[in-house]
Amino acid sequence: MKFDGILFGTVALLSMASAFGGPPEEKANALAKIFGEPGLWGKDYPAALASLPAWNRLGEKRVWMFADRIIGGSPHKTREEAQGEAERFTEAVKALRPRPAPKFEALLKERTEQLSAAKMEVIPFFQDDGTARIAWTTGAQLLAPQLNMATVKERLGPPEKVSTEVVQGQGERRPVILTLHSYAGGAVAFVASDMAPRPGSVDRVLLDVPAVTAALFEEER
Amino acid sequence: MKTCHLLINTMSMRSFLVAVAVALGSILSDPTEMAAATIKDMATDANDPSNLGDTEPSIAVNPTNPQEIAVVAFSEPWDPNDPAVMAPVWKSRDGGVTWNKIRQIPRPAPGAGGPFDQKIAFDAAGNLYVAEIGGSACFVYRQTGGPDAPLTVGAAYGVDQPHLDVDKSASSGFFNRLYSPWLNFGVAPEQSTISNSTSSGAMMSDVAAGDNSSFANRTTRIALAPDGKAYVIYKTREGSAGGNFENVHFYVRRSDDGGVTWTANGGTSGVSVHGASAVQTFFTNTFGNLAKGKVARARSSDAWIAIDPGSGDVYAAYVSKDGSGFGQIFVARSTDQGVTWTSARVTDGTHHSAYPELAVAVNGAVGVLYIDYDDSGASTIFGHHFARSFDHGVNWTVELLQSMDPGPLANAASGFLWGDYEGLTAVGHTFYGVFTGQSTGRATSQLDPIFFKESAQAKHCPWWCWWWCWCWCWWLLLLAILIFLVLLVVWLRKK
Repeated sequence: MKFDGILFGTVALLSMASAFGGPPEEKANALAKIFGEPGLWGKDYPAALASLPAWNRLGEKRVWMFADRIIGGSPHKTREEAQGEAERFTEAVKALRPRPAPKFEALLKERTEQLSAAKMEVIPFFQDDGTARIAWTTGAQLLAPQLNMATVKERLGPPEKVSTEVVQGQGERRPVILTLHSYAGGAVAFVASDMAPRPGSVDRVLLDVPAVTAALFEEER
Repeated sequence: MKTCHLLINTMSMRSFLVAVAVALGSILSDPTEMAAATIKDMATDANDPSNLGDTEPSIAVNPTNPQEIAVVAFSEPWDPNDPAVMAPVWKSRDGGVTWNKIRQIPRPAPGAGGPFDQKIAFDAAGNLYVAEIGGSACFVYRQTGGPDAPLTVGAAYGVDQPHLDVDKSASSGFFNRLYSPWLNFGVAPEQSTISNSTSSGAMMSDVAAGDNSSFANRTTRIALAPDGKAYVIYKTREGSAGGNFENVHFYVRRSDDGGVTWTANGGTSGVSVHGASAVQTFFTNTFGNLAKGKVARARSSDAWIAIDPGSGDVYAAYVSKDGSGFGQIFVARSTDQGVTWTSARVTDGTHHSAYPELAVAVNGAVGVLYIDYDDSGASTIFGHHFARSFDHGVNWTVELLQSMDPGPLANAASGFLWGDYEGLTAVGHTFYGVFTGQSTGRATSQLDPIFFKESAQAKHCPWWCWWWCWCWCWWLLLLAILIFLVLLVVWLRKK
């Protein structure tokens, strides 16, 4: 009976670990490597990472980090609906006192000023699918200039998984086709888009909000 | 034994002669079976080094020089942040033998990404036009300089899936008028709308054309008659029919006033090309068999319209699931300017078929490009077919252009394989088409834009062909008689 319980617990733990792409410590190490690669990021990306707890409190499952802003992954039917969400985000940022995990303390400390300097915007027509989105805009540099997949692979090694996502909108507009190069069990994916003017460039970075937030911030675990 | 031998010899000769006669007879009596399109992969490792998907292609042929052919597909985008980085037009100046990308479509406005949907056309003078979605609006680009110079962007109009045509008939009364149908998502339910321009797209006038009083519209396509009448086909979406199908009507509306109004052929919605009852057509993101490979989107991939440039007859292609249980391609013909219609099935009722494009040549030959799929094997095989009719759409001869399993093709994204539509046009006695198919001769097997060209003339035997066959028949007959006589003499001597 006792053996059964241990076995069940082990299986459950292993299942959880595999579902999240590995044990938490392993994921934190992988993320530390990814976010510690200076050649991949712009100078202001720690502030963007510091905003993740606010996205998490909004219930966003994933966000897109572009060169100069973060865009929420959830589509909104109307501009007004998105506006309400943007206001909730602003309130969430004000209430934030995120405490970074020790591994990320050096990276994330003293980002509060930048965090409050950033502003929320509503994008009435997100070009992927024509929906309204909320965007956290810093006017800063979040990704390394001219970042391409060759650089990512050179710094991080081959991706754990490469997948394609066809972003279908409501109408007949051409869908954007994204190629996701996933690392850290899918917590971070460097994304190439078929709409990018330079083939092979990194168009954006996908962040799995709950997974990355849990790894980077203590109280969000 | 000897008798038997001779019998075999004479029988063989008789069989041979019969076989020759049957072969010649079949060729001469059903000459369309001889047809085979010229097919060319437009992309090479040199002009497509990034292995782009090149989906949703459309095609136009310069009426002043049919050797000049232009295609737009989803190849390189323009740069929304740099006007110097332009999207390409694929061009051939040798009738489709060689192709180059000419980067001449700049961003329409700073920050506007694209191209999204697009369609290409020439006017009567051989000037190039392209309708594009850039950012959240549509734009018509026009040629104002040399043929390869950057195109000039026109006024913003429209929302979704712009198509394009220019009146090329000097006697029409609306010569050079430009028409661009599109789908208006700014109203509920969405409505088929047609913009027209007397300034080559510099200014556009939007006119609501579809009946959206009860149902949303979709699949809006246009054709222009030599007498200046304009025809548009669209569908009304009338609810799910289960699975991948929904109930629709395909309506045709006519404009006799240059696109100012669209009520010339009567009816509150236009005229249904298949009669009063609704038909079932595809509305799905999974055209194909998801369990057996990649699939395609087919939501506005079910209607097309074209005009016979000689007679002015109107042809409409549409998809309808019939008694076969398969979505099938039908072509309806109207000889009275869109008031009444007669339909015939193009496909053979054995596979799901969709994505019809339609063109009519100067001799009245009708061509339909379409796609079907076969999922009876381990993976789904998609087939691009070209059907021709030489009797006004009553009987059809179908040739397979290409079969393709997109599964192994890295740049084939499940959910959007070739786009919502492809390209077909006719100039003179030739059909010109383009589809997104499997590459040939590339280092990496992939989706590429595939050009094809096919005669619009039935392969009837000319006089010299008859003479040649006649001579051969006589020679063969004489040879047979000679052999028979020789064998007879040999047999008699031995006896």
